[in-house]
Amino acid sequence: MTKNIFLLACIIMSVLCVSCELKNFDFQDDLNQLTPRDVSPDFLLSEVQIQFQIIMREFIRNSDDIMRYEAMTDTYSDLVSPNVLNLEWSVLYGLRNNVKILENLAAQNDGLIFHRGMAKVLSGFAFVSMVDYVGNIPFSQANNPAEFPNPVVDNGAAIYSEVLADITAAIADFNAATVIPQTDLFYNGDKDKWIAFANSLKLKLLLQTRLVDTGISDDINTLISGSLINNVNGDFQFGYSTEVEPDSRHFYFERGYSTNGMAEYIGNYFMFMLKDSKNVQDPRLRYYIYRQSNIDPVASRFIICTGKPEYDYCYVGNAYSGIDHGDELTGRADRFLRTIYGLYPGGGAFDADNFTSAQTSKNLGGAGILPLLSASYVKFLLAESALKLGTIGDPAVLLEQGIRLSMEKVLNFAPVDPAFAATSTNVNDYVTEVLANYTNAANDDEKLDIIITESYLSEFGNSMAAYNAYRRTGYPSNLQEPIINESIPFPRSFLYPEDAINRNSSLKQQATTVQVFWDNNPAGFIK
Amino acid sequence: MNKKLLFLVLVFTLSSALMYAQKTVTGTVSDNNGLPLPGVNLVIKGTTNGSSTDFEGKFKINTQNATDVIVFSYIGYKIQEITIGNQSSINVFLQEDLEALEEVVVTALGIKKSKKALGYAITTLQSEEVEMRPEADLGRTLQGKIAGVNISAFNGETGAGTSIRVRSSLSINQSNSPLIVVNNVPFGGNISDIDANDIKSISVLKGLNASVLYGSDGRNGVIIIETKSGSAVTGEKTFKASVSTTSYVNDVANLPEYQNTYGIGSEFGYVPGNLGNWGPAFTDLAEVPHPYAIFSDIFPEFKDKTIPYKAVRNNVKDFFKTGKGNITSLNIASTQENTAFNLSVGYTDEEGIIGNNDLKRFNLGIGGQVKLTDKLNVSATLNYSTRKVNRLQGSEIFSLLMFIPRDLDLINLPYQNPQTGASVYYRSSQNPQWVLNNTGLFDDVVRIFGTINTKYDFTDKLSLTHRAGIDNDSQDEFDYSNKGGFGENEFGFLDLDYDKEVTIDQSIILSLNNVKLGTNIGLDAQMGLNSRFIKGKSQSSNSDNQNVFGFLRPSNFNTTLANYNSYNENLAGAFGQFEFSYDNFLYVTLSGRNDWGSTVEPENRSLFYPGASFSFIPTSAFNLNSSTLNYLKIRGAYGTSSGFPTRFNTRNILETNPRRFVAPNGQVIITNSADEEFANPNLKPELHREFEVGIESMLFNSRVNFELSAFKRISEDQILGAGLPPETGFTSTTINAGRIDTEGLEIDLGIDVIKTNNFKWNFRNLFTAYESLVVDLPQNQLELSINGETRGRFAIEGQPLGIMLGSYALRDDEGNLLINPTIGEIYVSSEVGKEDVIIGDPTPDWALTTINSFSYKNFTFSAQFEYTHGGDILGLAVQDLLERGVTRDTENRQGSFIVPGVYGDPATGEALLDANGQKIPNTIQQNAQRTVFSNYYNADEMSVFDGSVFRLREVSMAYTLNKAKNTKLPFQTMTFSLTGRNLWFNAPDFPKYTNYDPENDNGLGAQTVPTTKRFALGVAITF
Repeated sequence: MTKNIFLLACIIMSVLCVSCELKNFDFQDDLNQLTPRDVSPDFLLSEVQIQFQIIMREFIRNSDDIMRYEAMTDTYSDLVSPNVLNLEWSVLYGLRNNVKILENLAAQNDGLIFHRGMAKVLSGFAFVSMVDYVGNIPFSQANNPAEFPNPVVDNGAAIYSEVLADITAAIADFNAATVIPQTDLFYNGDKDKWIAFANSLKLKLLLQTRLVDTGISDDINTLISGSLINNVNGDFQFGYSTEVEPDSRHFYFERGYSTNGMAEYIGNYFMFMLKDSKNVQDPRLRYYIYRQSNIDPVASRFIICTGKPEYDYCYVGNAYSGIDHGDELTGRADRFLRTIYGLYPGGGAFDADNFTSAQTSKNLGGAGILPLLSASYVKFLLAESALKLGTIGDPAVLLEQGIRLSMEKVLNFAPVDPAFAATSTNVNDYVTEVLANYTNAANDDEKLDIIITESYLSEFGNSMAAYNAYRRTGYPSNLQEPIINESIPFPRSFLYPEDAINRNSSLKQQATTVQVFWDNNPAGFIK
Repeated sequence: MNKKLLFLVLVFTLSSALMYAQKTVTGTVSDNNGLPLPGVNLVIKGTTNGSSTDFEGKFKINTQNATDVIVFSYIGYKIQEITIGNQSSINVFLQEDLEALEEVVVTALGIKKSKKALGYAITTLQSEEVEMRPEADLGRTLQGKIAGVNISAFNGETGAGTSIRVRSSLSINQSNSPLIVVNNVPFGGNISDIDANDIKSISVLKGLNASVLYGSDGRNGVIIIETKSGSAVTGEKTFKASVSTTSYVNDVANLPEYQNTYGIGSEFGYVPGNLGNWGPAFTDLAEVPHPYAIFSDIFPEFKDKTIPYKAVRNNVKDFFKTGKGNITSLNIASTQENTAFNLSVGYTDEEGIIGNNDLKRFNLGIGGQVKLTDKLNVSATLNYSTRKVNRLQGSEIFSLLMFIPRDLDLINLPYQNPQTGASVYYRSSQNPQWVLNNTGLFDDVVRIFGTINTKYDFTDKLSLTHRAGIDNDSQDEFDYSNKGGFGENEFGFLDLDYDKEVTIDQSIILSLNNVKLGTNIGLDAQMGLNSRFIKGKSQSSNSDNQNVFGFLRPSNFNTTLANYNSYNENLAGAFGQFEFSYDNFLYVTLSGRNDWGSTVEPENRSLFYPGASFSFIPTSAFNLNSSTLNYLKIRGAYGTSSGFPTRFNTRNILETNPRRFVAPNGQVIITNSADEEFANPNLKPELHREFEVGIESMLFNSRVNFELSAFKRISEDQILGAGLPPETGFTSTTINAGRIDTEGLEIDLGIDVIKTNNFKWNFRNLFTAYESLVVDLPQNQLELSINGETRGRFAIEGQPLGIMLGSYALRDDEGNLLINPTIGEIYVSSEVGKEDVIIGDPTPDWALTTINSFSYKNFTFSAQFEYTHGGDILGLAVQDLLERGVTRDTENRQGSFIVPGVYGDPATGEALLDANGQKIPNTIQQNAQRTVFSNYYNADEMSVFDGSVFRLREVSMAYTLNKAKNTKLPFQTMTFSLTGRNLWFNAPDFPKYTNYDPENDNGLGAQTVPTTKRFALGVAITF
């Protein structure tokens, strides 16, 4: 019996000796993750910059085919459907969470006000861009899940005003700051460049509202007399590298130069505009567009459009193998043969009549840029403003400056084969023809058409600018209309993303014909 | 080894063969129908002198004197004693004993109970129903064999898993996998880690009442496995050994039937590199350029080369091979009066039907029992298993493989660039052969699982048991792709993972047995504490961007990120179960358990959930026993259970990324970010409740066995990974909301159609039907995640769980398809801006398994036939086969076709009317390709097929040689078996020649590794 009791005691002891741990239920902290207390303001600001880049990149990706840079291979309905903006939408409000944390930190630490300024401008630019694409979006009730689990939308105009005020505050922060952030992917901590960009962003926002807000001329004149981006060194852009892990390459490069070839097509309209719309060929053509082969896509049956009346261009010639706007007959095995993105801005290859597939081409490995607000664009905005609002400056001079700044940027993007490089004569000839057209234009509308068209050709890689300009002005007037499904209206705004519609009971889906607050043009005035 | 064993056996046999004789009595034993009973035990009362009847029921026994009493005993029959007197020949008729038929089953926590006392459903399978089957995975062997249990295999790849659902899914997005318990201790591993040949029995507890003692871990049902090595029992001195080996072949079961008339191209024109098979007829074109002529820089030999344009009939079939498998098992059991020892060893080696796909598993199990004193009993088991699986990372390549052009000689074309190793193919996608040879996933799982059981009997009515189990699972994963593929394989990657998890599970149980509370009232009770503590850690590295092609070590990759994770999880419970019996015909059981879990904040940690059940046996209560109604039991149960959330959902974290981006100047950008997931500190466990009623009955002299269970289950406070409106700054959180109600019916009907001495025919039917309804959901709809992926299955309030959403073809009010009058094609809802609708319910309405077993003398034969009724499948794989024109379904393609329908206006959703107000039928003619491709099947709805399927799951035959009949045999029994699995299926709603198996892709409708059919030959010997 004693033996039994002894054995029993052993067993119970063995249970008890581990029981101290068995009574512990405090395992709620995930020891494998940092906690919010550990946050580094510099790393947080880096995330804000990356998030900003994602949002802008995705917007541009989404409107490239709406604006005919890339060929649309389905319908407008597909391009703006509820599954399109999910990523931008969630990253945008995630960015704002980070900006809020940064603002709270900066409120107690003067060393972080440059951080705050940058965060505010980037967040502001991203938010007005979402307004430009969608219209009214949640803002005042957003980013506060405890109080507002289902945030209501704010009017786009109100968000524009808030952002303008934020930019003003950010300029004050830049001026007052003494400590620059560890990582500034845009201007490497250059205050003056940030201030010029902030002012230029204001100009962009003001001009965007010119149809609905008549009292902006004075504000614009004030901006003109201050500092604006006026040379290519001050361009607001995001730079990519050749790194594949994490993929830090430009998305045009990923599209055109990966092992599976380019699934998309360059739009025939855009190639026609560069190649044949003027007597002088656009000097940027070989920089923008790269031909992988010199095959004739129609003869090789990669595009079956011969004799079909709905096609406007079918094949623009000289082995520029793209498709018409809205052509759905795609999927031919010509991914290594068709025309793709070139040297600028995606960091691909310069077209020196090489006619080799993208992967075997001499290219920049994806180290391209995302042009977001350039000196040339500022000039085009000022030209439009001078023409339509009578603000300071000669529209023709500003137009020329805009074109030349764009040429300067594109033609000097990387060293190219001199035998095929554009010369200053090519540029001068081009400018001369455009300015002659401008002088000969019958009226202001035709003049504006020329300004916006040149802006369109300069803003390759930033279809946001073109999408906004098209809805504001209706130009370029000769944009190709969809060759089929003509009855589907041009999207005046994108649909709310399905993640938001499905989860936010305050949000109701809208139609793609809903016009953004600054767009008071008639319904159906653009196609 | 075997020779020694044989010798040992012979020694044992001879030593017991001593005899002495005085008088010999002979006779026959038969049942009350006059059928002879073989194997009846005879013993002279008070002596060890015994004998048994032979196959004709005849016996011979030696006696000393006339007062000797022969005791006849036989399982299932009443014991009969006969005094010899002066008889030398006796004919005995044994009476069936229905009380003795009482089955004793293993229930929760290893508590053995008489089945008639149970208020809930339990199904038990014996070893012969699972052993010697041609499957490395026990899960697959169990398919269709248990009413109420649905087992589906992910695909036909060797080593691919199964998903097991007991009484369908309980939770919207918590785990729905049942708890596996091996030798009474919860087992953290995969069911495929268990050697099917080491199984003694499997019991399945289906309802919440049955599993209440397991706490929340048991809420999805419990599969209780007793292994042979874990079932050593002290007592008589015995030695048993058995060895078995099963060899099998494994073949692709469901390839489509291809047409061989037309080849690559479009609109009857030859288009090189095309994905479609709508080109010219083979008779219309003599030669075409070699598919690799475009790669003259890589393969100069193909420059300007042409090849005959003809069908390569077996170009898909040849991608597959015949897999082979072998399973060998050895079991040894030796028992003494106070000790018992078991050993089992198993080795499984299987090759799949595709290249670079195999499985090797080794199992070693040791079990023993020691009776230390009269009151103290200690038993222990130790299992060691290794499983090495080599398989594909994904099965994407199969979707394209199945419809390669009929003229593409896939197997005989090079698949990689001889210089760079990069994939080469006739078009811009990855060559499936390249993927097979340059990517892979190796899993190496080592598991050590030990249990110790200590039982102390204070008295014969009171005992204390301590049971501890340690489950040590370590898993090594090697996941890679060489560079040169597409997508994430473009630059190559190598992901290494090492995970280790140790689970310590302990219980202390105080048991009261057979306590009499009155003359007729008895009490059995168990009270106890249970603790389950999990400690885990993992190390991982992710390397990207391969330098030298083909070399797979992190040093050969440009960037490597490493990670380390560790965690603890603790779940404790206190439970009690009190079973009152009244006169052996009424049983009432009350049970309760309180759980404490570590995955929620302190205020939500504790949850109590009770259960109650009854079992009433009218046949005993009212003495209704007759030869028609032998046994009737009515039972009812109410059970509850909790479901604790997964770890780390209640506190916010900060995301950090050491390598978010690389700037143009080479700077690596490090970032911090608020997490997208919003932590929910108020998270609490789910609560599940279930009502269950059942009938169990035996009829017609126990020739008919009938068991029925019906249940309703209400699952509330479901833990949902809910999407937050991203405008809140967060995209997801975890909440308690939602309710699912499930109703189900399970029937098990077994009939001994014929039961004679030599011939038996058993006809068994298992019927299962369920419906799970989403009663409440906090948001419009929730996309479900299936094995970590969203695959178009949703929870929508008021709808069955897992409904499919998709686009549909516009129709007028009479159901006519609306046709676009300019192009003659259907309108797809999504293309005209309409929201997706419900296009199908993937859950089958019901399933029936019929198993016919025949035995004639030493020969047995059984066939398992299954039918599943309903269950919609979005057949994307089938759609591809049709759209690409490869199967015989689309062979008849000359002439023109018209999509039936009327012209319509997508804006109004109505038909267009002619001048007379009549609808206008479509008359636009199209060729076959345009009719099928990018037209008819464009709307998801058009590709939804009914998943009803007939299937011959298993046929097995066995022949046993028995020492009792042939004394020259050097062993007790030797069994030869022949088994075929998945021999035939027919899914009538699918296009005839696509041969699509609805079981492919776990019922999700895409093309994965096709299902396989298997044939096995087995030999088993017992000594």
